[in-house]
Amino acid sequence: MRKQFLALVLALSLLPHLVFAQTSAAWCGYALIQGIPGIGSYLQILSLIAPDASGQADPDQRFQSRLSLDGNQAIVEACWKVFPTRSVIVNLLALGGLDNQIADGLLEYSLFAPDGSHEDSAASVRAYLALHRDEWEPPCSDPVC
Amino acid sequence: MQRSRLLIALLLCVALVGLQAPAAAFASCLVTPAPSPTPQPTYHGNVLGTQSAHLLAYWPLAEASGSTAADISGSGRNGTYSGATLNATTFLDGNPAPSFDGINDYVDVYSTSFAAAFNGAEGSALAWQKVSSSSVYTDGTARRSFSFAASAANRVLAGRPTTDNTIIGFYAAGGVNKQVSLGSFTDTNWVQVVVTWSHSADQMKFYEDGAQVGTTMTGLGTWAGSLDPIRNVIGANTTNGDQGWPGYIANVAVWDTILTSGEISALYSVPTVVPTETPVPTCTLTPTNTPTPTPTWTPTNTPTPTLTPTNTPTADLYTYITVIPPGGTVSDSHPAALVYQATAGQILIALLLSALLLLALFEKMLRARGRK
Repeated sequence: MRKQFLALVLALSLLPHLVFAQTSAAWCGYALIQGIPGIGSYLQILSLIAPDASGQADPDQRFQSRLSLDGNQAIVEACWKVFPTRSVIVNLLALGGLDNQIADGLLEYSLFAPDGSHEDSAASVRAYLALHRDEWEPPCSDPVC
Repeated sequence: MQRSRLLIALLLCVALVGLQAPAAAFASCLVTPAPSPTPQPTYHGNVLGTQSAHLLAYWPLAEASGSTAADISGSGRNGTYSGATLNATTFLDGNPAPSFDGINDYVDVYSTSFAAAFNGAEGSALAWQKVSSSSVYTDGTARRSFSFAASAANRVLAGRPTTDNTIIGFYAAGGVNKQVSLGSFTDTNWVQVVVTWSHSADQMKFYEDGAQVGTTMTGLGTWAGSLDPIRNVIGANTTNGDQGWPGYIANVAVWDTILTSGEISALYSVPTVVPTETPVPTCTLTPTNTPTPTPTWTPTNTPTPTLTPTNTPTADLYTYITVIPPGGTVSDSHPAALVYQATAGQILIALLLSALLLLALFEKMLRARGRK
């Protein structure tokens, strides 16, 4: 009886902390989506596995995307609630209206620093963009740029 | 044995509730407010006080959370954060400042209100920018700390070009581009940049850290078009996040008039935030009754020493424990008291524990009856 009572008291004291505990993300980082023309119109569905504003997630945790200049490639980023494997992305794109077989057949998908931190992933993206500047940055020629 | 267990449980309850109580709540009694500190100048105040009638928007970017970048000019032209990491560092005045990844982070500051107010022919734009590392200046990528544009042919921005170790102020109107560059630039600290443009005076200027850079550009074109919803961002070129700024940005402001060199120099000075003092509670013991003096007895014939009443006031202290509900206050008319201000959660825990204790007592009673 005594042990049960003490256990209950301890549990009740921890209750506020449990109630307000933040849900942790599976992984925070960036992914590269290629091979699907007009990918931009299918991307928003990926936000289903990312925190949203209603959950009071900060801006750097929520789903973001960036398109290449031709609109056929995308870099997506979030603190993903589910690890964004290729099959997860294919299934989500199918949910978003893209034919599943087409998505699975065409999708070229890679993660930036999947074993690293959010900043590791960002650094990997910046290095990638520096090598593919012509595909991702508006044309620019000094002295006026 | 049962009694001792119950006693231990009661002590545990009191200890748990007490541990969670703010220490200051047990300290004392009546709070004597400290004198109001003299208002100190703030950077926000300095910006707001500069050409205030012409200030269109001022985004300090000092939020610690949320998705709104507040415009504190009073015009309500708030921006929306996309991906920036809030409160990633501190600005020179101690306020929070966000970081931008240079990939897809930006603050979208377009609004119909801002578009209606923006003057492509006359204006000034100010920002404080800082790179995340010196390599930002040498990665060969053009980057923007801010961009306000109707189109590629009508825009004003600051950032860096593809040329290494260079920052720029840029103004284009009617396709006529004017750019002022500052080379050999490797500063990784907070840098103030200001672009001013005036079609009427036919001049465009770029300032860095309070001083004009290079020469005054003339031969300006004629601005055409209203601000483009995707081209008015802080931290990038457009809402696609291209030409993003890898680093930190704070205190971005836009006017519809040109600031003078003196005003810009003054806005380069950043007062440090002085922490405001919080009132320290002091105990005040209030006497509640005054003793009446003892009457003196004076004989009629012989002078005799008179009894002098000591008349030492003794404070009759009312001490009690008052539980103040959340949001309640202690009235100044209360005499000295011990006050415990509980949160709703603490009250709930206290009630639950009390209920458990009562249940345990009740169970004991039932068992005792059962033995009989």
